[in-house]
Amino acid sequence: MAQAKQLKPEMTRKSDFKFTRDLIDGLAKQNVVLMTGIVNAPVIIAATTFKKGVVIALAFAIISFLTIVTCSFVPKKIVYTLRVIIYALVGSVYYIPTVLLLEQIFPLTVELIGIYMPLIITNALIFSKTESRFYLESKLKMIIDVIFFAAGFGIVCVLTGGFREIICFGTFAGIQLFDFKIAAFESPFGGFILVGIMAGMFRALYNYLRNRRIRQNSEEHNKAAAEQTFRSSTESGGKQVMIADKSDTAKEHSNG
Amino acid sequence: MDKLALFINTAMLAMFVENAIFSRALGTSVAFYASRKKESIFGLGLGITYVIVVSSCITFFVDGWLADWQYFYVVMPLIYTLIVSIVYTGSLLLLWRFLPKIFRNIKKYVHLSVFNATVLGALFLNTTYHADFFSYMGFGVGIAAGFFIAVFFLHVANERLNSPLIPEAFRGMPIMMVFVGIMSLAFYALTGYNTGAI
Repeated sequence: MAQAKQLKPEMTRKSDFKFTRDLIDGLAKQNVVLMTGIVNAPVIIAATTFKKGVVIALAFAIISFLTIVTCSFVPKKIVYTLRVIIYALVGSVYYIPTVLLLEQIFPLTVELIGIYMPLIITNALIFSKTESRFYLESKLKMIIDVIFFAAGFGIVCVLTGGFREIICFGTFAGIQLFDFKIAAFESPFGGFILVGIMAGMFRALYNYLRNRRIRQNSEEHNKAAAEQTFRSSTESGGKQVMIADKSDTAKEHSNG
Repeated sequence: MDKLALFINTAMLAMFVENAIFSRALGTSVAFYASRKKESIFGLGLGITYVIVVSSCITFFVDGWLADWQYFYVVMPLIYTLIVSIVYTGSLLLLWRFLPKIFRNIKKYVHLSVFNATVLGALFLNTTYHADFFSYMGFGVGIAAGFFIAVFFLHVANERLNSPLIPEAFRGMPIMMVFVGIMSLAFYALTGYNTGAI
């Protein structure tokens, strides 16, 4: 009985697998930078150019994905207080090939990112989201979920990097666009304010779209319900009329 | 006496100029989480200070041995994570053996004060500055104290930042970010930063 009780939430989570809902969850509803804010240091401090944004996004995606998938095989019998050590060590092992690979592709950029590159191994996607979400799901769903969570981070990181490059240096991906520059956005305080405003605007947009969808759904539901009531009332009314007609003819027959 | 002065100077530098939250954004999400409750600030602050100081002692010697190795920067996270894990496990074992009541209370959240960007970031920054032992200690204490100060500021502002006066979409994390940004600008002023407008 107790076992059944323990299995129940997992079973329900596994059974209600919806691809579109998961896609939106990682990208928008639970975006790790703009909605939950659990991973933001690399975006605020290091993502000051488009190229840096791309490198951070790639490193984050590779390290997080491999670590989460590998650590999903760690037995749950080990208490979380100790399991977390394994997560950290696995993450730092995957950091080695990732940084060596990225250094081959973007040699100078990796160096410029500095300490924010190795700090990816301590991201909250590995330490918090695994226990509260990923490891409660089936393996396939977990993999899809992690990909979209990483993509959600990556998109924000690249967009922030690109936007900051344009307003700080007047360039995009190294190509000179104009001479207008606001150097303050390159600094940490500029990053904090920019990410804060972006998060607020994103939430406002998300809430607006969600409310509109709810309103549309409820209107459609009401319309469908009204139609159904009308149909059922007319059908039953028709039956009543039929019955009334039958009884009238019967009366007429008897009278006759 | 010189060593003590060096220790205090480095600690002050780490606290205000290299502040973990306002200048480096190290462990911002943990800081936001801790700022909600007064008890969490002290617990987390103490935990982080302890782990950074003890780990800094060990990393100082490790850096001395491996700093010249060509690939040290690649394996550095692994070595530091190993050191932090040893400190974490050892401390938990000691607590479990001698102070079981405290162990039971903290075991659910203790990892938050160990495996976060503040601890590893402090160790990485210490390495990049190539300082002596007292500077290592001072920097570790300063970073932890800076984190504590930042979380305290966030805690003080928390109630106002979540008030109905703030637009709903900005309430919570977004306005907290903007607030940290403004505080960060104030901390930057300590270093004589100007935006070039004046």
